[in-house]
Amino acid sequence: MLEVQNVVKAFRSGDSTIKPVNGVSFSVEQGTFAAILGKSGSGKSTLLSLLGALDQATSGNVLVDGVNISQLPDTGLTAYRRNDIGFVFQQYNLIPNLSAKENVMLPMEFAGLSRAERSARAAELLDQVELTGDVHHRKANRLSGGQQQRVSIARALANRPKLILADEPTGNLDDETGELIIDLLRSLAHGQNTTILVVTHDLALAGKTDRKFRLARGRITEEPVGTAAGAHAG
Amino acid sequence: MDSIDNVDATSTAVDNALGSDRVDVTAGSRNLASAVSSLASVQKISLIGFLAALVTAGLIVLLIMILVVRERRREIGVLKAIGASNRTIGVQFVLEALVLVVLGTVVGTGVAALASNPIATALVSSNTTSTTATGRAGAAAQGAGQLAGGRGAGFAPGQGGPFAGASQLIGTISTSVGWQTLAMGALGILLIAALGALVPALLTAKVRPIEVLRGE
Repeated sequence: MLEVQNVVKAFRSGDSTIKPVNGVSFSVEQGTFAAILGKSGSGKSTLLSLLGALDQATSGNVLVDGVNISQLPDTGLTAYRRNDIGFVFQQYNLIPNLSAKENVMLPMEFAGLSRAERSARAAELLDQVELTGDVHHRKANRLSGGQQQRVSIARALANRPKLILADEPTGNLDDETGELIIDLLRSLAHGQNTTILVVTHDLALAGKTDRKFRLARGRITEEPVGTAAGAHAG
Repeated sequence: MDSIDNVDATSTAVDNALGSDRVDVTAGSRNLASAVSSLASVQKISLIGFLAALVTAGLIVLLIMILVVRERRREIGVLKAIGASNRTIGVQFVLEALVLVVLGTVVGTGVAALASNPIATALVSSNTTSTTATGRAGAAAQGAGQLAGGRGAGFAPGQGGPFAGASQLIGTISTSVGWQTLAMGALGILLIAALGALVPALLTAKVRPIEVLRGE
């Protein structure tokens, strides 16, 4: 379970203080597919980086299965990123000179799995995201956008994380490929009991999630599922 | 002359008998000293060159790895985001530097094996040429002479002089690489490379994934 308690992130900008995340609180049950909507610059990605321990909150707590990641030391944060969460980025962020399979094997290498285990699981995950055959051995920079995003999802699943954080996962994809990625994320959340939190301004994506939150002026509110009222493409 | 102990006395006697203004009497043992002196200067030049090459290699590795880290900041950020520790990434960069250096060492050793003899010959030749030239100039001013009993006793220009012996002695020198020298050289360069890669490896620890990924 993910619990966010009164999280604030403040930046100094000249004489003023900017708070893209200002007292955000919400919780999400395990196995939920949830979306955070908001305009560009509303603080969505900042919130996601706080949840993913890429950045530190100015105040407040983020609890994952009861563990307060806001108070973890650097080594604890590294272990948290390695074992408990998976990232899916808008720009995919694969290592270009590694093959699709090698990219998926990387987090498992950091977790200390043997080469045989890594290879077998990477192949299984790539099959799961419907990438088969010689695509496994193709360099990441020779894959299409949709294929790269699938590899990115497979990589996020590598160490069986409790939580997957996806930042605009369909932002660089055409509608059809984007829809396939959304369906894939949804099936992963429900089929593998993985919490998936997607930051997006894609209303089609948000319409397929179990819960929707809106971030505006640093504050978060939950919207009823099945409505796109007040949604703003940004 | 019946004893090596009488070399100096005999030299003085020959000098007095023929006239020191007409001949230049030199003992053969001094030719040997001249040859050894030339070799010592070649050895000194080689040592300085080796140390300079080591320091240069270390600096080159340092600069290359700093550039590599700067170019790959995004990759470092991504690796950290997916769970790589600072140590894992630092070790990876040191290993990359060492692989580059090992490749460079193998190629360098091959080139050195092929080029060492010509280089040694050139160095020895340039050292002996200068000493021989000095000898010939002196001899030319003093007229003809001859070599006898292992001692130089004057000579005509163009026939070689007391330093011709040195030239002949060190003209036969050839280079070879012993395993011990090779192992010490390889160890030295690996240590320098590891030191050169250490600073950039430590720089990777300062890369924060959020700074890199924020640029998306």
